[in-house]
Amino acid sequence: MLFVLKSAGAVLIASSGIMTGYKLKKRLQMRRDILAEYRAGIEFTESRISLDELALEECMNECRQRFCKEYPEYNLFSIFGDKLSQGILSGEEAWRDTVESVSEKGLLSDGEINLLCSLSSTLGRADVKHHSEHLKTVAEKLDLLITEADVKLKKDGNLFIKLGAAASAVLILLLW
Amino acid sequence: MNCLKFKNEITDKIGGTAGKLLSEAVNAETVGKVKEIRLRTEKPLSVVIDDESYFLTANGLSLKHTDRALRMTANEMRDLFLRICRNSIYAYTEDIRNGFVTLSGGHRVGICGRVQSDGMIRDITALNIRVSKEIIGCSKKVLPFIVKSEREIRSTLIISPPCCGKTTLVRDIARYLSNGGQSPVRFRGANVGIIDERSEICSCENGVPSNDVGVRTDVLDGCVKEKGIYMMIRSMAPSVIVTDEIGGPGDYAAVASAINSGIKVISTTHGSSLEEVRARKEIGNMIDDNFFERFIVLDCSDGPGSVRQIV
Repeated sequence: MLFVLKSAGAVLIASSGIMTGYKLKKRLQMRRDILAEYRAGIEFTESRISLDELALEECMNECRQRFCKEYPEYNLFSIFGDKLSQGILSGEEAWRDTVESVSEKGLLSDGEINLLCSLSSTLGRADVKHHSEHLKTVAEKLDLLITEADVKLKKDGNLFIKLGAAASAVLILLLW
Repeated sequence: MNCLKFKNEITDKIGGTAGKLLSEAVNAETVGKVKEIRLRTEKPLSVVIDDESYFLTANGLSLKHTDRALRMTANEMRDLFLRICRNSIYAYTEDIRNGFVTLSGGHRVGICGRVQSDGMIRDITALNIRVSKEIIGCSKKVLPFIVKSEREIRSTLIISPPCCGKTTLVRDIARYLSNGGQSPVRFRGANVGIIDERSEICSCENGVPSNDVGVRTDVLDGCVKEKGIYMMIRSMAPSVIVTDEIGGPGDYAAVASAINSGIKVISTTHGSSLEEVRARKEIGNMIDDNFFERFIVLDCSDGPGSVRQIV
């Protein structure tokens, strides 16, 4: 009976450790995916503004249907679009509020938040050329961040699972 | 225009204290009479109702200019302008260069500020919101003079001083000719082409008219009249072309082209009488060469849209 209980406990500890490692890996993956969605959305916005001079609200409506659909709470485009349609905040204020609301979830680094925030100085206030330049610059910088996130995912992702398993094993041995 | 429409289309756009006070000051009785809302940096906000200019205060509208009248700061004007442009100034570059932006609902906002070398207006110091009015059926009194038979109409020139309802009238004429109808005069309906250079007749949003201009109507929004008339003739086979404020260089040839193609033209021009308008070069030549079969002169003697003379 004691053996059965100990075994059950060991399995529980082992699975918790592995699940924790897996969750950390998923978080890295989520971060990389969200940055990729942001990049794609910003690039899409740039093309809609430079080719069609589409108003920001319409751009965001198109973006919300295409990007960040798996991560609605991180959907910058959807949140920004909603704030714009309320008509209370300026574009600059609405974007800063949007990025702040996403930053509170703690997934993105300060550097990434600052990069996204930098768009507030341009969005809606500048001409087409400046929009295009600024959006392209941010998209290129996001590219680099996505590459870094990819490397980190490959390097640390499986490591977290292994560390989780190892920590569980140590705990099992100690408690056994 | 009702209070809800006024709030949704205008005071919500103005926003802030000004928008709130304005929506409280204008009631069901006065909302239909509001002609203009004038906002100037560091000057009292004024509302033109029935040709009278009122200043907006915390207690409502006042005829007297007082220190209590609400004034817009430079930052508030800037934010208001951004809202009017839906936080997308780049999408309104062409309109801003022309000196106005059109709000949804067809209200034209005139812009004053610092004009740069590229034609863009920055540092906005004054905005004039002209409240658009769609009055379905306002053309009933003039239609019997325009419609010749079930299938035929007369090319018509509407002559009017500013703010006497010529655009409201020409819009309703276009609607009736497009839809057809039995009253006040039987007409089968025809293909109507509208060249809406300043987006005032149709108040298009993304190319779709906000005003009712009829089921058989095609619209060239924001297009220069001269070019638009040629485009419409070539591609849309209209029976009637409707345009606002002709008389500019090039309009003579364009209207001649339409008339020679068998297309009737309904248009408007600024003026207070036929004689005054005939003295002007382009439009005078059109009148002398019998482009128009009917002339309708408007004034404000009995309110906007009063018909003073039909020739």
